[in-house]
Amino acid sequence: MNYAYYPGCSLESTSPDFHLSTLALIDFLDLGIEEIPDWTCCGASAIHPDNKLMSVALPALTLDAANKENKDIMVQCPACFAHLRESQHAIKQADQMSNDITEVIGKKVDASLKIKHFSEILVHEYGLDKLKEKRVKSLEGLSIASYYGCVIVRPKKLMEYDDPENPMLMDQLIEATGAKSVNWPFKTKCCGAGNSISRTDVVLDLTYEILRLAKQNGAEAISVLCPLCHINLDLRQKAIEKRYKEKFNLPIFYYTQLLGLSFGLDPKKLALDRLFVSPFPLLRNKGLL
Amino acid sequence: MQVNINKDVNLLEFGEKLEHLAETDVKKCYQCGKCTAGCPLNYLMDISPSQVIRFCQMGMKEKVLNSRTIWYCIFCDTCSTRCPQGVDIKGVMDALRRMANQQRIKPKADVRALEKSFASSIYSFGRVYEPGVVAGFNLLSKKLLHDVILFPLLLVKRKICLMPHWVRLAEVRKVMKRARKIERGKQ
Repeated sequence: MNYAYYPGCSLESTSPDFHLSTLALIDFLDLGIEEIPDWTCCGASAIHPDNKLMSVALPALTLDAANKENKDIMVQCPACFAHLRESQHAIKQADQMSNDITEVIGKKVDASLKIKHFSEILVHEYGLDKLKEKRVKSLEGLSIASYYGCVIVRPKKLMEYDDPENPMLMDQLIEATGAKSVNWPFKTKCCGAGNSISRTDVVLDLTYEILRLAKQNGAEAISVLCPLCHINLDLRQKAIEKRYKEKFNLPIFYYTQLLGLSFGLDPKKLALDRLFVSPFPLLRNKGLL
Repeated sequence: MQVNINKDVNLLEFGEKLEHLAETDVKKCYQCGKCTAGCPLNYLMDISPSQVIRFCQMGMKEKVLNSRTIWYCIFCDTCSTRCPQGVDIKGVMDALRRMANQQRIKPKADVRALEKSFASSIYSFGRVYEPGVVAGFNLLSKKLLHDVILFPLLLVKRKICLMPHWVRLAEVRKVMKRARKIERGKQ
């Protein structure tokens, strides 16, 4: 494996639980993946509705930083993942936009590197069998709904991640922990994403449906792979419960935390204490702590 | 819905510009309505996603640029993924937002305030400083107390960066300035 890790701004601030549990897995599985030095913001979803060129040029700075290290890019945040891919795609086209990126950056950026999500690397390169071999504590008895959100699966041609309507990649990782992955219909339904700040009411509407459907289909917790999905489902869960007068109490894990638990890693190291909806009562109840 | 087509038909110019910006062919749409059915925000829109595409086919620029719909789209891409005709509806929404910004049309939702606050955070630090983004949004949107209650919660869980990181500032600023200049030249 020849990857360098691009955490992105969210993992550095509001999602340290995702960041720390990722580092714990990299360390435990001995993957030798280090952070890209001096990475910069991908521009997120705030730039493209105003300036298309800027939205594909900003991530090119990070592609360039990875090239300098001679590394491919491993990423966790789906929005960063999408914007790095958009930039790579734009550079590869022989058109005006590609020339404009070169002019903006001041040189032609080589876009031939691989950009992969950590979950893909675990399933396709490290291997599910090896993950199961490393398991010391089966999470048997725990029912988890895998929630992917939109950006990682769509557009399919750009992301090349999994089926956009019924992805199974995270479900496979959940099954590798010994837990049961529930079959449910809202895997890729949008959570409201960036509207979290600008239109919080919209987010509460959309996330309510997600929590309700997960619980209805037998989930005791949800597994996510996106920092924004996590904020909207975890941090805002109290507000959702208040708005709809319905109790959920569904812990929202990052998939990396569940894998870490199955490897017997210290819950502190996996930052389980930083979740807003405490997972400890559920884990104790299942004899997993 | 009754619409007056004659008044703002400017089919060729608007249609060509839109298709160039969005890199898609809106003429292919046959109004099956799948985009509207799958849109998670359709319940808040004044005209549905499929209606936006129809108005674009008809060259009704003012109608779509002044709609609430283009500001409510969250780019989840469900519409484009499901379109049986391969029309990139999300791409059209994105292009319409850029057109509306260029023409200084007043946004019909606070989302533009968030985008501005976000961009200025990147320009100031090279990485996004989230407490600054929220503060900037609150100022621009005049919702001063919005989400303020979350700060102590985030502090307790150590989910907040107290200080921004300054990274490759000269390069980031150069990229942003040059991109602005080139895009302005195209208008």
